[in-house]
Amino acid sequence: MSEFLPYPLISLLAGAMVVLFAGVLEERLGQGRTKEALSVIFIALALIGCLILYKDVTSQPLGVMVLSIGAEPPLGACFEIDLLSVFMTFSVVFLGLFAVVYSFRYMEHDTRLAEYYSLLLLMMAGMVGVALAGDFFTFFIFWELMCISSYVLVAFRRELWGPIEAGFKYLTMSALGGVLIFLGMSLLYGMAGNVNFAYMSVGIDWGTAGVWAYLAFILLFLGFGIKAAIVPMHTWLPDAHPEAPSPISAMLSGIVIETGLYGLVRILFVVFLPNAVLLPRGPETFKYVVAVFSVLTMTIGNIMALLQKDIKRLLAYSSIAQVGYMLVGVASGTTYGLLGCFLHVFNHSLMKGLAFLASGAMVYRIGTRNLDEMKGLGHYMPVTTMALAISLLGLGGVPSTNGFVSKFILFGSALAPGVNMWWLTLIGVLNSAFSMAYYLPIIIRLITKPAEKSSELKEAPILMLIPMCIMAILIIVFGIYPRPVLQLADSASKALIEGLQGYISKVIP
Amino acid sequence: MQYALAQVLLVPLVFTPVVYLAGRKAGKQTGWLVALPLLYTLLLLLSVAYRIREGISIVEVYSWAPLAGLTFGLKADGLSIWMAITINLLCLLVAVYSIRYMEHRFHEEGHEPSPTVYASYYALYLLYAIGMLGTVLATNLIQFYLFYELMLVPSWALINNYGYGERERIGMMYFLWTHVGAVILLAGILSSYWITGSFEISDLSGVVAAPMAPWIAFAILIGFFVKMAVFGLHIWLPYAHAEAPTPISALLSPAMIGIGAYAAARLVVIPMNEVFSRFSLAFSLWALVTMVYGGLMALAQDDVKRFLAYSSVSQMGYIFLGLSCANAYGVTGAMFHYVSHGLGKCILFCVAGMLITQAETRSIKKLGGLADRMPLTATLCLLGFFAIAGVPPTVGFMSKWIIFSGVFTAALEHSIEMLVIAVASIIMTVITVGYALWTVRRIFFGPLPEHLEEVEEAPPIMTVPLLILAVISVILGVYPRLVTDYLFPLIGGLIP
Repeated sequence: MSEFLPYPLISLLAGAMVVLFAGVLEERLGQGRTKEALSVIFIALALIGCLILYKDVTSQPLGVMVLSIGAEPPLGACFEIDLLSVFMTFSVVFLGLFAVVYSFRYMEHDTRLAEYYSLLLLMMAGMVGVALAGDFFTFFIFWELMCISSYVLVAFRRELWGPIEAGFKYLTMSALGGVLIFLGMSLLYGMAGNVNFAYMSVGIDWGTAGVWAYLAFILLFLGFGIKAAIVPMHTWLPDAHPEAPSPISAMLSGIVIETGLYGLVRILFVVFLPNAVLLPRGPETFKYVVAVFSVLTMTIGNIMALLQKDIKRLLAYSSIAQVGYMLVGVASGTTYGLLGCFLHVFNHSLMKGLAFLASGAMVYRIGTRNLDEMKGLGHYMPVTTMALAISLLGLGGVPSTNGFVSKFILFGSALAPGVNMWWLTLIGVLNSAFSMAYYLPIIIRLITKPAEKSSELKEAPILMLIPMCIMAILIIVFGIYPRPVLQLADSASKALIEGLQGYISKVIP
Repeated sequence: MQYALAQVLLVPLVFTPVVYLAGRKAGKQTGWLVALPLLYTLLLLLSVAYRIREGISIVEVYSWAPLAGLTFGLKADGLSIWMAITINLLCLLVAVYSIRYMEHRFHEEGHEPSPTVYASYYALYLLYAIGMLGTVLATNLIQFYLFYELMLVPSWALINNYGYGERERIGMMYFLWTHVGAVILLAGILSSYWITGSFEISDLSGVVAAPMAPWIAFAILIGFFVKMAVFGLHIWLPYAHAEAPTPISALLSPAMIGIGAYAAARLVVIPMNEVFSRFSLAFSLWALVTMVYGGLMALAQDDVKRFLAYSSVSQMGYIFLGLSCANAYGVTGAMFHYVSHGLGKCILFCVAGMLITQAETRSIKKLGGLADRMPLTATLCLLGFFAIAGVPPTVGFMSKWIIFSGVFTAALEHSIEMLVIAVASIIMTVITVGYALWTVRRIFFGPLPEHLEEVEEAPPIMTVPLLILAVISVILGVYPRLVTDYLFPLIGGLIP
């Protein structure tokens, strides 16, 4: 067990620095591929670190591990790691591995690649730090690390106007989100006298907090909502995701916005919901706020996706809709609902990641994102098309893909006795069916006969195909045999609700 | 034999990639490679049918995802075995029929077909067959739903890739209609889970006492009604069935849409009988409307495949009428009529396909007097119509007779209003016979138009599968006990 930083974080942070230096050296010496190789190695190390972390956490009493930096928790910053943190870390690193391998060929014509890989590792380190943080201080540092590196990555191709504009919009909105989170935290700090999550959970005098507690919740909800692209705070996403390089789009849609969701869930379930009974009409308020936003998010996301002609923009809107589905599980507030939520986070990272990678491979070959110009592409790029089709069917929730498993748990959770939000399930399943109306036409366009023969086009490079094929296979495998991921997600959601006492008592003996 | 039912699904599944890869070399002969696993599974199912003749049922359960309450079970009992055998038989014979037909279809497209198109056609075909077989054998609701959707995706791809006319728009329409139906069904399944705490179909009866029960029953039924194309939810059917490639039409209409009826019986009519019978009268009226509407629309058609599609709507009305009685006779009749409609309608769609390949037209107006040129086809067509119209000695007579005894029983026991519906529906069978015989006369009798003088009889590879179906439909018409001995004791034991 590491005494200082959790292993995946060490590996990613160290990787970011080593890759940067290696890249700069390499540019001096001429061509080379050390930085790519090093990034893969460090991410693979982080994946191993994840496994070690999993073992460490499960071997701990109460299933929670605390690593403090400097002083002991109430004073010093700390990492408090439970199985939910491990689950999120695992999702981040897993998707990151695919995105990096894919980047080799996709980014080969770009310059400043040393910065690119280094920033990608830093962004992952930020997300991992957010997932592992045990207090708001640590949380916020890593949150900003993730945000800042992602701004630069969105606007990475600075010679084009689109990415710069999208990156700037993203920067403005996300910075506003950061400020709102910070303000919300300050309020909670004022009430609890401490920034540690566990202290906040027990240390607030809710009887007198009243309206201030609601204000803090609203600020935090808005702040995390901007990151998680909850409608109506989503407007940056449809610009930023299509303009970013495809592996970055995959990371953004696949896991970055879900990190915002994770922040919301962590705060909601550790600080607000356990004490909600002390507030006037507390529990219902929190749940119904989330439920209403869930409906808004999935409906608007789906309707807007239907109107898109740009494939990556369409996928971006579909991500918004998928966040809406995840919120159904949060709104239910039960272990079962959170199981669905986190399972969908993982599954969605695979599906949306694959969708962005595959459409990126097509963009790489034909140089346009316009769906009308992709007609008949399936005849030249059969493997890529197959992978894209699998991911789209998964996103639409067709059975035998992993998207179905998590969606069915999500929608089922809203019907559970005690939750009883049947309208949420109804709107959810109708939305899910409706979403096929834009997933299917993509597949149809790709598999129709091409207008004229073109010998220029060929299948995507093998280094791009490998990650795509593995992801496509995993989508099917986890759709038919979901047990391993299901168990992980189950213990993650149990850690959050049933393990709360352990989470608190580990810091406050 | 152990794992017999698992093999029924696994063997074709294993063959799917083999078919795809081999198909790239074998071209049109791939059809035989598809027939091979289907023949094997048919033999397996027949052996299973022999083993359960005494009224026992065979269940195979495999663990799947216990955390989410899922098991993977397969069940052959008196109700599901004949459905599975019918589906398997049709898939097998239509696969053989496809060999010649799809060759014609690809040439029609105007280019020399590459072997790849055969490969993907047959691979999708096999997946579609697995979807249908899995649906009828499933014991777990989620597993059921999985197969229910699995039969949707390949059939959509088949329509979209190989259909006629505006196939993409129609494929989309087909997909969205049935998918929306399916997710409403899913909502029903999920709500039932929170009442019974289990996804097993056998536990569904636990829902009955709950106040939500009518809503759950209704949500589940809506999904199946879309598939069955009952009046109001039938919009997609004439388009999809008319424009699909003919062998696929010959599976969509006879095999697939009736699965909606089977599922309605399995999931609602039998376990939630008390709830369902409350709506008996309304549903039987709805069934009557479906039956009459489909029949009248069929009379108005000129395109032979569209005509058959509307006739399917009408026949689904009969099956729906049988279900809506909610008694043993009615449900037995409905399931039996699935078998007879499956045999008859499959023959008819394949005959339509033979008209397309031999006479190169689908318009009834342009046809006529073909009985001299294609005597065998004419005979088959007549037998097919007998089977669905219910003319003895074909199987259709027996199944309709049982449906009507169900309706009269329900009418005499419960509501006298139903008697009116029963009498009306008997009178309406005239429409079926009417459109059937009138169409046969227009296609096969009368003067032979000049442009059809060169038409020849279809090759044996197309006619022999149909002959087998025709013979079976006559055998079952003479010995209906082969089917009813399975259906009736089981259903009679479960509902009054």
